[in-house]
Amino acid sequence: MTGATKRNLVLGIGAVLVAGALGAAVLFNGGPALASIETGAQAPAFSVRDANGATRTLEEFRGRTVVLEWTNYGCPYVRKHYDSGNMQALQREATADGAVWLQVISSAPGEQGHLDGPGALARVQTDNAAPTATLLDPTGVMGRAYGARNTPHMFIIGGDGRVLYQGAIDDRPSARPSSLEGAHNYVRAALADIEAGRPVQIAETTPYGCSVKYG
Amino acid sequence: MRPGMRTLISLMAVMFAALVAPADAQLFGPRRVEVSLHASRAAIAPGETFTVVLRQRIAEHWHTYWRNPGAAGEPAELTWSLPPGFAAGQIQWPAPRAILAAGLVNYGYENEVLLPVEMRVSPSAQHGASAQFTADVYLVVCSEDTCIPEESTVSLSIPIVAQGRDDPEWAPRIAAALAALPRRDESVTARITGGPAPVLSVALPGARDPYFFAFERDALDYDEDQRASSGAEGFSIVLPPGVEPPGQAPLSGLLAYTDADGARHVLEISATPGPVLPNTSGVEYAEGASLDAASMVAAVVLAFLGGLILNIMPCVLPVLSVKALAFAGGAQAGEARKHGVFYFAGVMATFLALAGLLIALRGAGEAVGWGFQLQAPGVTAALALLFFVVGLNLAGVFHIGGSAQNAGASLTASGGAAGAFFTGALAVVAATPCTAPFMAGAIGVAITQSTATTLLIFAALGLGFALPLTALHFVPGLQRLIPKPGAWMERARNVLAFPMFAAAVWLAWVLAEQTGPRGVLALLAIAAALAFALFVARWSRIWLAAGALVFALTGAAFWRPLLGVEAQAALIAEPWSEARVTQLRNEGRGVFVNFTAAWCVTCKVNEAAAFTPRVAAAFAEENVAYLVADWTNRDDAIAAALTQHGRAGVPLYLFYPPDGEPQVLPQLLSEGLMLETIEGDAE
Repeated sequence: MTGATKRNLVLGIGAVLVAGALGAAVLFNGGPALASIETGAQAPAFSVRDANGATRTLEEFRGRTVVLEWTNYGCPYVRKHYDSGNMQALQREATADGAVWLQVISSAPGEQGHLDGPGALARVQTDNAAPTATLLDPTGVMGRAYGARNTPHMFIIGGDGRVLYQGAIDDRPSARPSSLEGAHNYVRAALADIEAGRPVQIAETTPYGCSVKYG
Repeated sequence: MRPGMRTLISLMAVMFAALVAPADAQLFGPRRVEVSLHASRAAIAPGETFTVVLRQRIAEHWHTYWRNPGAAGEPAELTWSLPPGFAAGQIQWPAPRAILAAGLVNYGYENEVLLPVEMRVSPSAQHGASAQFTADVYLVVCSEDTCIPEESTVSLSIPIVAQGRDDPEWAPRIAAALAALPRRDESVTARITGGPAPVLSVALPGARDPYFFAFERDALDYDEDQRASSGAEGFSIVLPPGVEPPGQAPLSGLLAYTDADGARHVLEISATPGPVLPNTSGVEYAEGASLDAASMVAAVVLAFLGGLILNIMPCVLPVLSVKALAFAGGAQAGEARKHGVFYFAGVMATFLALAGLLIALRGAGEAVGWGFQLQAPGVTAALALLFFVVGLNLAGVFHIGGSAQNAGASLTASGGAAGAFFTGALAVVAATPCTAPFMAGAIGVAITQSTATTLLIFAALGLGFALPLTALHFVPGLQRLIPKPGAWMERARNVLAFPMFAAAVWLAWVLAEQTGPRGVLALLAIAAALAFALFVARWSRIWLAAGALVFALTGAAFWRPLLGVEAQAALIAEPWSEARVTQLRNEGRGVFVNFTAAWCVTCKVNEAAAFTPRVAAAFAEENVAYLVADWTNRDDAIAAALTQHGRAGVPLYLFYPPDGEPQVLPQLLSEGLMLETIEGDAE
């Protein structure tokens, strides 16, 4: 008998002896630490501080397209997109078209990529990045709610709060800078679809990159 | 390099990587992977084929990747520069390990790995010269918290001679590496069955702890577990589906498993789409799932003891106590034995029927375990109602068959022998929810086995369960232990009602998990109607008819969520706000706003009656947005909007046609009215 089974047994007996009412807890507890969200479903609400200390919510951007970019400046896959200027160009394009671009840092304190507010602002400067804001999620609550697995992991949320795209930034799951050449950028394509009022052609892909460094 | 030294260097590398702002990927410290090229041949002849390996020596706590890297990372790439006429094959990937890093499953290698590549020597290669093999190696190496790409160039020079010869050091190592590569086994039948939880079933009896490594990264999700279970003829794995879920096309990959002798194997398989192979599933693997005679006896004994203990579970005890009280009420000795036999038969028949159902479902490919019956909301609700009714009976709200003397038979209308049989059956049914949490481990071991074993274990369980009360019927000495009848009997009955209510409360909570608030509402409504019917039925036939009518009407109105039949209300709601209304109207869309609250009965009646599939279709057709202002909790914006429309509370239905003034709909809606409103005004 495994340790888990034993524990369930003990829990089960305890619960049954109390009132027979709580036994089901054994059957229904557990589950993956990371959520998975459905493309087309309402995006999870969030309320986190940005690098300037202001509380940001999904609600405040209702009516606008929101791009979420999970990032970790130390991750080579993230570096590929920043050192080449690819990510910054996309940020500028998207925000110029009226979209909101939110970087999200879910690295826990002490983990690779973790930054405090001033650190995150400095990183934006260093990279000459152009996000609307950088959200700090050191507890990983937001990351886990979205099921963010990798850096970079991209989400696009429509003005109605629905998830319109989630997955990789492009079709080249590589950290090599040379892989950018000829890559198909899923985020750019999805944003173009949304702007044109078309359904997003490729709405879900497998994200690639480093794992998000949750604590 | 000494291991301690290497650790120190990797440690420094990590610190270095953390300290240096890595504006350039090349800035990451020294290498974590030492790569080198080796050949099976010390000298090669023109036209021959031999094997070159890329050897990776990987620092401790770091890993590199298989062809499908899993949740993160990427496979190594080799770019060859070869003499003219030479040709290099693809990397032949050794079986990976599933490496858990930062909570995600990665497929790759630790410590050391040899990646073989087949190399063909040009038939026109010149004797006496040397062939230069050069590869640009690109790989990503990761630890728990860092990933680093490493690029390097490795080369190897081998003399070309008339008669090739093996390299004494590397030929045997490379031969071993090639022999260890996963082989494709065409004799193993494997199926992939699509759906929300795709199932890979494999006809490999006796195998356990299987794990499937898909070749295609998009097929699976790597942050959820693969759940495996076995049957008599093989096993099946429920695979967490990825972006491109398997099921339509053949699914290829490596299958790792442990055979009956405890040896681990890896096979390459290609599963064809189709239904789950028969007898390949049961319950989750327990350690040592293959039962020998000793563990078989142990499982039977365990089941017997489990059955005994079930008698005192709160779901069961009240049912049985009442039966026991019947003796105190004065059952004759001869009758008692007959009743004992029938009770025993009732218990055994029900247990074996449950076992049969389980076996049948298992054969049909359902991933069942004990307690599976509670996974159907209908069953959960029916059990909750059963407990509720038994509780009402015990509490004295109603009696079946009348007098208190007849209390023992009162649970089962027929009385006598048939009554005893059904008491047994009822006791087993009542026991099932208690069994689920209590017996999961014990039964779990048993039902991975053959049909006969499953039946045997269930029979042992039934025997243990039936024994105490059957013994009570047969041994007069035991009957004398029951105190003399008196007023205490009625009190005991009444008190025993409450564990039944508690069990019903628990099941209502289970139902809440399964169906959400709608299911609970349905259960409670039906329970109230049922209580009414039972309560009034004793007064007269007319009351009985009225009670039955109320029960039937309530049942008809509420059964849907309990049987999992959701009204196809494809009305997709978004939360209301004034800004959103304005925005939608600016887009030229019609907007329907439903001001509602969970506690507003009128609202819920309206939503059930008027928001039908036809209405939902009309919303879609006319491109009318559906906004919900949910006033279940305090909300000042909603309160203000209600006031603005002259209402103090919900419901309030507002329709903003694409052009024209908003209309306030009546407080009672109908399907016809909704269709008229949406279609009539949107045209």
